[in-house]
Amino acid sequence: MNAPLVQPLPAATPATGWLLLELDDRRLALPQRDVRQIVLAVDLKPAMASDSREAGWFVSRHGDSWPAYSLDAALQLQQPAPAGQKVCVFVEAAGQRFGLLCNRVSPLHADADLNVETVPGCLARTHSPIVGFARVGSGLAVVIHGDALAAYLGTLREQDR
Amino acid sequence: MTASTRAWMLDVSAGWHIAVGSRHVIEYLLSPEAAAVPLAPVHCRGMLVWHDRLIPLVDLAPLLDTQQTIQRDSRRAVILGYRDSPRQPVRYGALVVRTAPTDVTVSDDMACPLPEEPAVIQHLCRSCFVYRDEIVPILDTTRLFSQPLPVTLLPADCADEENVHDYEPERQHGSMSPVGEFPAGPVSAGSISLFSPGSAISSPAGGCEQPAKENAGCAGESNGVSASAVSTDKPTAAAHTLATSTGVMHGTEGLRPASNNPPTGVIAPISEPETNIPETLSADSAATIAAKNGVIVSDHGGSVLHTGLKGTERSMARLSSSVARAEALASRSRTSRASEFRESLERFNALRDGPSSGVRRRTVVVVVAAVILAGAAYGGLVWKSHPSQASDTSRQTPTLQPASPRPEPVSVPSAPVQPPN
Repeated sequence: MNAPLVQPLPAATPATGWLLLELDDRRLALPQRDVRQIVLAVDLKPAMASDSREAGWFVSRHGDSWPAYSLDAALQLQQPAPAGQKVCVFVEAAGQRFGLLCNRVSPLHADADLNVETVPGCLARTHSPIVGFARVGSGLAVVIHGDALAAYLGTLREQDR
Repeated sequence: MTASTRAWMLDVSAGWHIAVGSRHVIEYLLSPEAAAVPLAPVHCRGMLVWHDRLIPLVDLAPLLDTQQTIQRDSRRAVILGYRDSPRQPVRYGALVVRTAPTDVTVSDDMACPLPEEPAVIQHLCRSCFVYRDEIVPILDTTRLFSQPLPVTLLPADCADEENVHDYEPERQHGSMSPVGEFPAGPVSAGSISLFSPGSAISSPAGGCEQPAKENAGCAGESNGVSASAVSTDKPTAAAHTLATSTGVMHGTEGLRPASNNPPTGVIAPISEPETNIPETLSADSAATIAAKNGVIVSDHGGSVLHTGLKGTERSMARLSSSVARAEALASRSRTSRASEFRESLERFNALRDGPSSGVRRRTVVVVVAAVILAGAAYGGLVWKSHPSQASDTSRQTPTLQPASPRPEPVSVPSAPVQPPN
């Protein structure tokens, strides 16, 4: 008997772990379940308008286009993106897909790889995408979630209008 | 009889000292290293790694020192413990200080009303007292660390109304008292029985000339230490506020870390103070005390020493007492050693610089030399005059003897000797 040519895919399991995004000296920890795609920055199309807040656009094979943003260490939008931000991580949350440019990306495979501590009340701010802090090595990682990041970017875009 | 309790005075900024109940003060850091956090308010310097946990580092200088006359790069901080609510585990935060904490004893008769300005004092403090003609507000650690600061209290150039919470007290539904909530208005210590309107009080803000405020919503046990006390109209005195402010050490749980793994460190010996307690804990003496007791002072982010995790209600108070006692002992020891050294130095100087010291020294040398010479001469005389010694000497002395005749040489036969058959 010949074996089937196409092996059945295993049942989908929710992604676990974290993705560490390095923005210059800042490290962001993003759940892998919120990440949909990682592309190179050179594959992005530059923004047409000079005053746009997007650092670029990614056009898929199906013709869909998604914005990509560049954040500085203070988590403020910047345009154009620094030359060091060569990787773009696309996040899908809150019904939208958007990219975040960063210098490097490294995965953490298990949720328990990060011991996330909640944001103290004195540091809490509305519209902040930060949901916690975690120690990574000898440094600090800012934990963000896709939903909070989408809301935060929306707020930044609204402020510019 | 007025109640009294112990407190630590913290030099936070611009001449402002803020008092914290002794049970809240966990550790004194000499070189805290905080990691900056994006989107943080101006008074939050970032997150500090302390005993394998991340705690916020708060600096009140940007809020109090509006003229920015002081240096912001202070390298000292105090770890404070607080609870969000009575049933919650103890959490920790760090507060930047400019000088070493000072230990004081506060009684109710020292209470005074909160100053009107700056507004952040009224927001973060619950009561205050007068110490050495200075108004010292009593800090509410829970409000400082667990609640965002209202945008109206932030400096004008730092306030971002889009990103900062408006302050809204969080209420726990279903409880009999607003546990974890602070009174709507500032809690004035200056009740009628405590405040003397005619007293001349100076403060950095010059704001203690205000009359006593109404004690609306005064919560003597604000964080639910005693739920029934919240709804009473009993005035909050300074000592009472310090003793019950956030209840870190109250209840059966006592002060212990939030996790199940207590930080390692030296637990200070618990003993009642036996000597007079000094009121100042300097950094140098604190280091000495730390070596003895493992208390309060640590370096490099608090990796060395830790206290206050004994888990009993009285441990922090005893801890503070033991610190003070150790300092007193160390101070007394230093004083006695210094006096002994000074006396010996004076004796040495007297011998060295006295008018007859040179003559005395020469006399001693001459006498010693004379004694040695006399002894040697006497010994030699006795040795020579003794007959047996003299005879022994004559035998032992090499002398020339007359030459003896040389013996005749023995002749040896030259023929070989034949063995007998």
